[in-house]
Amino acid sequence: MSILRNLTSGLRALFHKQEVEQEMDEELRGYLDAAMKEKMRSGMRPEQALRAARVEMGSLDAVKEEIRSNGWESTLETLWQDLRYGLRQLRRNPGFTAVAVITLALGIGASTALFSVVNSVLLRPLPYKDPDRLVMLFEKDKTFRVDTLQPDRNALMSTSIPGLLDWRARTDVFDEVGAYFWFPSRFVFTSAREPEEVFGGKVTANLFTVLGVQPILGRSFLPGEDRPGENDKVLLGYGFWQRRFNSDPGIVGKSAALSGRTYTVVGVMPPGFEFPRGEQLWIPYALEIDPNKQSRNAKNLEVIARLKAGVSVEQAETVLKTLAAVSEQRFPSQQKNWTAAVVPLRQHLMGDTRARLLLLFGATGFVVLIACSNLANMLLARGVLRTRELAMRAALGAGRFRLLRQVIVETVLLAVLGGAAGLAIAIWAVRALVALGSATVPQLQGVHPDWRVLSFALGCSLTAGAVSALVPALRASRTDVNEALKQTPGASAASGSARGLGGALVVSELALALVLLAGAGLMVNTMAHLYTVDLGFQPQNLLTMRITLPAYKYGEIWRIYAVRAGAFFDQVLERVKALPGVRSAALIDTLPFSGVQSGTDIIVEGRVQETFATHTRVATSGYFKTMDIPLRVGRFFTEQDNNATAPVAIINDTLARQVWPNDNPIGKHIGSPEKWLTIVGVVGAARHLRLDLPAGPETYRPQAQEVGGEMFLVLRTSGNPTRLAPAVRSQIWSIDKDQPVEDVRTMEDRIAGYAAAQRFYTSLLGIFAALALALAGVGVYGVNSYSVSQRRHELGIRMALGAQRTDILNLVVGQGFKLTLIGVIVGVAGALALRRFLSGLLYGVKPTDPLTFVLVSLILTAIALLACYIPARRATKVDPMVALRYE
Amino acid sequence: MPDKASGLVQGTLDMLILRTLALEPMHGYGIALRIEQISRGVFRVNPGSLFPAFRRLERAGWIKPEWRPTENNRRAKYYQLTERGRKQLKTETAEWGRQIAAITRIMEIAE
Repeated sequence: MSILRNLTSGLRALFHKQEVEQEMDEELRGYLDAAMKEKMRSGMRPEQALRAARVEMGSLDAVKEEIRSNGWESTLETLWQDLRYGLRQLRRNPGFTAVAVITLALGIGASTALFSVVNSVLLRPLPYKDPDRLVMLFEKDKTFRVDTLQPDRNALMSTSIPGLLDWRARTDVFDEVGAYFWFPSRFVFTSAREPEEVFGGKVTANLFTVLGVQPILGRSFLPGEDRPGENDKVLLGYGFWQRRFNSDPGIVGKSAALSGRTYTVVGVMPPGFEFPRGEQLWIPYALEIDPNKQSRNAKNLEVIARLKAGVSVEQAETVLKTLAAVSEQRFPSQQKNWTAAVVPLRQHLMGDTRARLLLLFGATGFVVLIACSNLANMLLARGVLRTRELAMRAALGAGRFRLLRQVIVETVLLAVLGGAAGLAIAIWAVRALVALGSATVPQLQGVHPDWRVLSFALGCSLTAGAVSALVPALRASRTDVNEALKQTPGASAASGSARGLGGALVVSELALALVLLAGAGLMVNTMAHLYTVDLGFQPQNLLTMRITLPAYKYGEIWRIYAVRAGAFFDQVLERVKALPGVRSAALIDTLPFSGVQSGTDIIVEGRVQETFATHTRVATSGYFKTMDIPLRVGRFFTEQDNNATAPVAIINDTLARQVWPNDNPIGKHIGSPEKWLTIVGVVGAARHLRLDLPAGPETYRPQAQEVGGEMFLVLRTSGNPTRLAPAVRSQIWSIDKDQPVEDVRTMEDRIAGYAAAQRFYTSLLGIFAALALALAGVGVYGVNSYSVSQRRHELGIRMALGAQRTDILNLVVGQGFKLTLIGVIVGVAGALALRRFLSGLLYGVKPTDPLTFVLVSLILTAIALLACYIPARRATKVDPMVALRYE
Repeated sequence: MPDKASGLVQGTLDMLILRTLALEPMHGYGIALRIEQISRGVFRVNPGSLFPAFRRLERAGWIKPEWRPTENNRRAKYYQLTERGRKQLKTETAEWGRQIAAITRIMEIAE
């Protein structure tokens, strides 16, 4: 009640000011009248009475002020006055205001944009029910060591059907345990339009229950629909349903032909649902439920589980480890050295993105720090220039609190302006980031600045404002009024400590900027190395595409498939080679930078105790010529290497060096005793999955002797390869109109895709470093021009006494140079101390690379000196007479 | 000019105003005069303290202002005690009594 009354009465005082003032006047006048009348009654003459009453009352204005300052609204009003005064101050110094706001906006914008990304990737809940309770369950190889052929693999492994059933039985830890086949299947979808391959997941019927996601149409799978014979149902992804079924609302119950089989559509999943790896449809995985029939070696199931409420990841892992120990005892031949691990789903999806985003976030923190110290520096300088003004206000009766508040209000005003501009920058930058990084950072598509980002930006700007305001405001409030008033404006007294503080801020700015520059420099260096790395083949003018012949059409039995597929591919090669613009064409089953890899162990005839790991490739005879992979010794495959002739192989020089370091491998036999392959040639090694790893050992087999499963068609073109794509596709469709041709891309595009992550992080770090450099430059400039204006008088005397322009230049620039040097040294030390954060991201360059460090130090020094030189030059232009008279 | 109201114990002015208004609604000067008269000139309340006190009491809901016409065709602001104000006066009076008694005891010991 009373609060409400307080509020309304305060609001009335604020908004009906005139009325309230009038009433106050009237009441006071009435008081005066009454007092006068009383005095007249006791015998005074009217004039006398009036005077006495007035004297008693005192200053009418003071009384009114007393009355006014009674309520909360008066605090608000003086605050409003401060605010208006602050705004006037900012308007009066547009240069200062602009630089301060821009500084803050850049710092806040960058950090908010990054926060949006970090926020959505790391903090935003996954689009599943209670995602924190979702975990991935793995078997874990106790004997795991890093495999040179598969550098990205770790000790975690999917499980077998008996393994899944063991885990499912533990209803004391898991609410629900679901699974899906470890790699997505490709389904051929044919219709009146182009044939298409879609990724489909084979999933247990309860997977959607585990995730807590409901279809938007129809239902998800029922229990038991994952048994063999029951699994002819399909759930469609939203995009696939839109694209190929015209968003047919009556789709449920209709049938769809996929890879030559008919499935009944039971439902459509919501937009954006692509669990686990961009799947567009889901079919039930036919579980053979008799565990005795299934080997525990067939570890083909990725398992996702929902933890029971209150059960921790560690508890679940303990349970699984105990289970694993039991299995190890019971099935030693299959489960020896296998234990288990539980990984939260988010962590599983994130991989090492987390560490990298946090690194970038750290970099943004640096930029914000630089922006803040810049602002502090500017305010500090201005605070000293304003000492007189503040002293004047103090002399006129403003309390210390009022003065402090005035300065803080002005700073916060700046911070809010900067924050608003920063938010605008952030919104723009988030869009740019999403465009730049959507291919490499999971979950980036849906990023948009949200309220948390807004509060983060506001928090940043207010903290920046408060920190920046603290020092100058405290200084201002401590000023001795008498001293300050005696001081002449622009004289240098009392600025010694300010100059020291300013210097410290500049040094830290420069040091932070150098750390960022060094990081960015190393990353740019890495990019340069990646782009110029010798791939082992020529990626220019190569058009590539994947052709997977569906087994339902070409035969489930391998020998039948081999004959039919061979015939088909022969025709394809013949037709595309005839196309104008195609210089050569070939087929290979595992194309570099296609994401496909394969490997096996081989033995060498005469050395049967050893095994050698090698990647296996199946290629047509023209492959090496098409890719421009050089021949070291021997020969390439020819048309004569076919079913009728002896089995042959070509190895790369990595394998050759490994197996026969001092010997010629030509004519040697490798493979297995059942089928020895004669080595006919040695070729150069071609990088395969990663730009930053040298090629592993490779063994090529001629396609005519060993038909591969899915094949990539590679064309060396004489012009722009993408322009040939439609012609090539129509040639293939002229052989089989239902044959999907997928993943049509140039080789350069594929490689760019592999460098995309690196490029994403490099460009971000580069942007931050450039920002830091610019801000630090502004900071140095600001401090120097302030110091020059402070010393105008002194410099004038020096010039009057005969100092030359160069002397003045040396004096002013020399001082800045000293600060710069200290900043660079501190920065280099800092960068060296932080180098381990970059180690995983670098290629071809050490984190201590001296050249990079020297270069970035030079750049920073140059910028800093330029920032010193401009005000110094201005100082030399000062007319000594003007400077002397300035007082 | 000596401001005798400043000699008032902190917070007692509010109580004195409430007590004065307990009898009848009054305008500002009337209240000041009544306090002065009853205290036999010991307390003289100046407007700089009086009016802010009115605002305070008004906002607390203890007194209610009312504009009434005066004999010379003007209007004057009269204050009257509200029901809540009456209650407040009662508790303040009781509290005051306890305090006075306590202070008196202390002063007697001190002598």
